[in-house]
Amino acid sequence: MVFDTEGCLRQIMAIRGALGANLVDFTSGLSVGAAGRTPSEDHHVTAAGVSNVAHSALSTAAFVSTGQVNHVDDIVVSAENGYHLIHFVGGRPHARMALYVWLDRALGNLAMAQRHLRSTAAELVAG
Amino acid sequence: MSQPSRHLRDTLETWCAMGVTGAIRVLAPPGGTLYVADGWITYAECPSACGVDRLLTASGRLPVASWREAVAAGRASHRVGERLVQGGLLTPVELEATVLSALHGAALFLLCLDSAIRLDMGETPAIGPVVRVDLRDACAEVDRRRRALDDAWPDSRMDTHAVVPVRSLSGHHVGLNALQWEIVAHADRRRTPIDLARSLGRDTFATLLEVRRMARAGLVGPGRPGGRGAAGRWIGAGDHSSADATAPDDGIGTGEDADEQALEPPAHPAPAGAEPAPLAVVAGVDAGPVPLSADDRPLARRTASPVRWSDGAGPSPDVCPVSVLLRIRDGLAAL
Repeated sequence: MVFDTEGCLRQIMAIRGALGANLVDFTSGLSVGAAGRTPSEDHHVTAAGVSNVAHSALSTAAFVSTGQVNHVDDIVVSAENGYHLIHFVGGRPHARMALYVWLDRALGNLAMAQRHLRSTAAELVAG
Repeated sequence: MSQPSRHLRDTLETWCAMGVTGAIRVLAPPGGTLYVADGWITYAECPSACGVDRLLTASGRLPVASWREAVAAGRASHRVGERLVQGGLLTPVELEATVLSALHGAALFLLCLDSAIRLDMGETPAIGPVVRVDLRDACAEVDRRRRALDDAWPDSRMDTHAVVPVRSLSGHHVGLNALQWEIVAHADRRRTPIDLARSLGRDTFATLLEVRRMARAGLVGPGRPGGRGAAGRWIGAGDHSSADATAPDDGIGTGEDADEQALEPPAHPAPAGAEPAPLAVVAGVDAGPVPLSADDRPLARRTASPVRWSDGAGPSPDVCPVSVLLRIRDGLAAL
């Protein structure tokens, strides 16, 4: 099934414990669409934050030896106010989208959410 | 309807509040067009920013032929975007993200101009009704982006001057992300970040940001100013004549310059007579086509003044050979 931004966000919000979702162009920090609540003032601020976190993760050569091409699948931040999951929509050399979901710590299940985001991301990019 | 020159945002606010539909042409350089429908921004384009055509074709996401086909099929009905999705070339999410990238990329240059604008009622962009953005959100995004650029590295010359990677690292090792790699790999000491974004089909703001981040890290520095004539004006430079501010009629490119741009480095459209003397370039007081800030303007005037001297037979101070200076010094010493 091919869906639009709204459908994609609905699918993310269906994850158990999901408090908020955001589809972010992480290269620019632009929110392409958002749903639910947001841990910061608004969805645009959240998107900019996601972009900053993504930038740090992608430009830090953590756990990678020099000269090796690295690929980051997701970033997980466990915080007092919940779990923050960023999943990179991959597959294309020019991928610039990331799915962000904010999970309730009590209700959310990280592994389930990760699987869910992965399958949503796969549907985002046409074959 | 048209308005005299004043801050573009004020006029836009009035028109959007009225719920107008049409193409708002921005007349001051770099020039561009904002499309509004019922007071919402649906598309924007500016010669300095990557349009949907370049984002899709130059990035390699779509073959140029597929793009042209969709344009040919959907242009007349203003449904190019829909054609791309129906043809299975893009998902709706990709289309929305690409249109937003183009829209905000152009807004970054357009929404901080003091410019006369003209409204052509009823016009709609050829890409079709893909997104709707509130003017206030667009302005907030522009402000966020300008802050982000300044936070990354305050030297705005990096936006409008050629990207020149340093020849050697000051340390042992450096890590680059994918976009930074592309920038460095395609920097030919002539292309500005705006040129690079266009030839790579990358988001213009993202490219500007990565260049500034690399400048902070000491990996790249500013070379010659130039590239697309539009480049520097949004930073608040003075008024300059520009011939390349003309925009396509309906906000869509044909992707025709897609190959050309990748192969040929862009020309420097310096206005006639503004070409600085060679010595001035070396000394870094280039009076090139794109003055950057109020600070640069006195320099531009200074390089113009030697013309008075060279009217006579005497050599211009700018190209005064060292031997002459030495003779003068010797002569003065002898007195």
